[in-house]
Amino acid sequence: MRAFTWMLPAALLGVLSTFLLAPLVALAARSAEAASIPRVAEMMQRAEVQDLLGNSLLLALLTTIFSLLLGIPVALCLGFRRVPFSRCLEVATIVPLLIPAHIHAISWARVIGDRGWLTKVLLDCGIKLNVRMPLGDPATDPLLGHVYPGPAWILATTLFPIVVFAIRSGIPALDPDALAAAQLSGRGRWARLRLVLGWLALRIAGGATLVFLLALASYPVVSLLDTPVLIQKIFFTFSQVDQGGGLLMSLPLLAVAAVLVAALSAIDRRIRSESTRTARFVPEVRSVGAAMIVLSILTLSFGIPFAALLREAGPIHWFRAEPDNYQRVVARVAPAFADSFLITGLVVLAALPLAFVVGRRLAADRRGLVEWGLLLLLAIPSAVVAAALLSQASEGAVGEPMVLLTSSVTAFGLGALGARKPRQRLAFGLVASGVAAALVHPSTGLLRVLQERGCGLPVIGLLALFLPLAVRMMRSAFAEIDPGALEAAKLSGVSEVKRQFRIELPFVRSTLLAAGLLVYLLAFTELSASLLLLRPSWQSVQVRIFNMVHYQRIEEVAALCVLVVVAAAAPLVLAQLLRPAKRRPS
Amino acid sequence: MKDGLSVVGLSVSLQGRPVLTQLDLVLPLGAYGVILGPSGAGKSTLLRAVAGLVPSQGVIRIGRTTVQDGSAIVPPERRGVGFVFQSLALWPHLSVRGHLEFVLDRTLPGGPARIDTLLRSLGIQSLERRRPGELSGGERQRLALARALVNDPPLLLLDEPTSSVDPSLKAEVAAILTEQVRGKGTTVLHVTHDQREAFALADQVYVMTQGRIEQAGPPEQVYGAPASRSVAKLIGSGTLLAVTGIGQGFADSALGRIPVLGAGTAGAGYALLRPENLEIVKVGGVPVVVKACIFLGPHYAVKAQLGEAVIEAHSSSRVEVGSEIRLVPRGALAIVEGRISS
Repeated sequence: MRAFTWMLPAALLGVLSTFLLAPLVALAARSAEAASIPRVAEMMQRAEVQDLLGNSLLLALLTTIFSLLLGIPVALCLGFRRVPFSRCLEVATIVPLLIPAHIHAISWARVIGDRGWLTKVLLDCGIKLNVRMPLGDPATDPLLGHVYPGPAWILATTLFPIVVFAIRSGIPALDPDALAAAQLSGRGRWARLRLVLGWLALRIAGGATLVFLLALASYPVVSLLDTPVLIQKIFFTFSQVDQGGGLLMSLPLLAVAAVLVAALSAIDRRIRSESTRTARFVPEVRSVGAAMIVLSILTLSFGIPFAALLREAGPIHWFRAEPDNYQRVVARVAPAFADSFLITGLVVLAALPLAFVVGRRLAADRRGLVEWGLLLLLAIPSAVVAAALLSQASEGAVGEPMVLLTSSVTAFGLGALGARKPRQRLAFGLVASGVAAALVHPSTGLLRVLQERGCGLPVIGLLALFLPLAVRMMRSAFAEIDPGALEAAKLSGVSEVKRQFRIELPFVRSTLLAAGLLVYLLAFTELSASLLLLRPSWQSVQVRIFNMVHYQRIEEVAALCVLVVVAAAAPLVLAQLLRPAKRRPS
Repeated sequence: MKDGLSVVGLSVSLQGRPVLTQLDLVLPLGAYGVILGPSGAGKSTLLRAVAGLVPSQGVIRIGRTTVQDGSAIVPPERRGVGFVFQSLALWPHLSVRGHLEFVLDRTLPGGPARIDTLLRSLGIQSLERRRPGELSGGERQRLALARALVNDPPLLLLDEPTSSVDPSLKAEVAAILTEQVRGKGTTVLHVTHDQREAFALADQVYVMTQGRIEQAGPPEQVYGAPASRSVAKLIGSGTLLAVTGIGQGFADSALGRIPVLGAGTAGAGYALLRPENLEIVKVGGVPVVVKACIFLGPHYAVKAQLGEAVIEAHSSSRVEVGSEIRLVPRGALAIVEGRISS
């Protein structure tokens, strides 16, 4: 019996490979011809592609700058000052990230869109400003005509919490004595601020790189505002079932993503190598001004548009028989809510044990390649992942040999990587490969079922998108555990399963919970992949909102957006508020 | 003599717990003061209060400037003190030169050339482009000291600067402090729990326990005549031997009638019996049984039972555990205040 216990992880690797990695490998293999060097060169010489790529890069750059402008003051105020209602402000800082990007776009459109109240006010003052417009005329202005501050601002209001988290995670690691040394130096506040910003430069760079990466591949905002960027074209091409063309279009973005991921991975390694375990910095100075700064930025970034959304949705009819917009829209989209919760729940349920097992295994592997691979998986645009999965399922269902081949080979590779010794590698690879072949073989009918009915494809797609993030979190959490504590548990002679549950799980419990919440939020609010993967018999709230923007009354869209924000934010806000207060070091 | 640092009635409470209570301390201008004390005595808190890094009540004067009294508090950045932290507190993203350039007061005579002079004198000029992560432990210590000294502060505060380094580096740091700081006119307040370091460097030693200065004075005085039992227990090795019948330079003890200095309360007290006050003899003296014999390099520490006390003597050769040796007190023993409990 014991001799076969290794087969279980090998089989698990086979399953993971089949659904999460093999589709991407297959897409790359299928498109190898389409993405030949002459075709790539020809594509890159097209003025349209150059324009779209330029727009994408400028949009991502501007988004990053806006995110830094919003995020740095918030992070510094919350990190270096004891602000009143700090817990509430911390929760409020997370909220922008919880609001799906397309809802941000809809909200801002109510403020500064075609019929936005601010647009009208500005127009009365003779200023023509619209969230969809570039800064200049694209036909005559070669630079400003390609700069779209509206979408960039909206993306920044969604993504700036990433900068806040990146910086805030670094502040407690600052040596309090070194901060005191800066104070004692007698230099002014600005000089000291420059010193601290330099000190946190790696964290800021990490946050900025991640924002740039996400802005580059974000689809919902640019789609709703009709911004001419490359990801729009990619999505359009994939939705026309032109996988070769879609992948070809994706190549420039994937190349930029690969470079950014390498940079991010290098930054991450530098941060880890420089981190020291000295006393933790705890802010001592109380400041109401800092709280006001945070509050102002939060109001500016999402308070105003969200208020516009609330205004549009109209009042709640607590005591009136006539249904309000919320009741009307709930009656209309209740099945979509049910489907969304079911799909999200399944994704979370699958992601947590997988992240625990894979993260634990990868924690021991400190090679930069693993980190780079995980980040790269995160950086692949969701449309590409969804298109790959869709094509793997449809072609596998009709017995396309390529599907069997790529699945088996990918599974063998992943299985071989999963073992340590050469003979083990072979055995692992063979078992994983066998499992993969069995899963995708037409005779099992699994891929046909996935393709034709059920919510399997969206669940797998969302899992493929967000599992690497959960794995990365768990890997970091496992790597943080004191090796001595694990060795002591090992020496106690208890079984490995018991050790995992009684010793290791308590160490990583909070990270596991955080990973679960994050996967819930990301899966619940995901739009791009869902648009491609959902079967006609299934619905998702986000897809409904996306469609309703064009076809339904805007009051109901606004009401639905408010409900989605509440549903997305509720678990996190609850978890944050119920979190036990940190004990101050004595 | 002018005061380099004067602290009067200093009290500090951290999270509602009193850490320093009505503490008084005077350090002459240009003197090297060392604060000795056990962990938790409030040594580092005292330094931080002097630097203004923790809120405190009381009066603090640095040279002629009152930096804190009942009416006004000068913020830390305007007190002009140099501080070497226990953790060294270096900025990981700045180079050696970057550290000094950040701190340098450019209005001082010499300007940026001061950095070169200081780096040269501390022997780290060739490392000026390196960051703290690329420096050895000793080099980091020098950088921390250079940062504290670059503006010629009137008061230098050293918070256990050698606590996290190995013994060979301790000697190196002590040598740097002796060469670069001591006797150069800067008033220094140095916190340590290493007695050797304290006695080697100090003009004045302050023994601190439970948030108070128990004794202050030159190192020889603190070592030779501890003011209390707690100071005696803290400074050097030795045993407090109960004595009675103190009078006219003699007292009665388990070692017989011994010469003593000072007078106990109501003729009774404790005599501080240090190893150097005992001599192992072949004939005469008081017989004791050896409990342990530990090789310390230059000599052996021989521990023996004398009544209820364990006393320590030094021997040039190994002594068998369980064997009997004879001890004779040498020189006058200091009488430490305190009644003998029943």
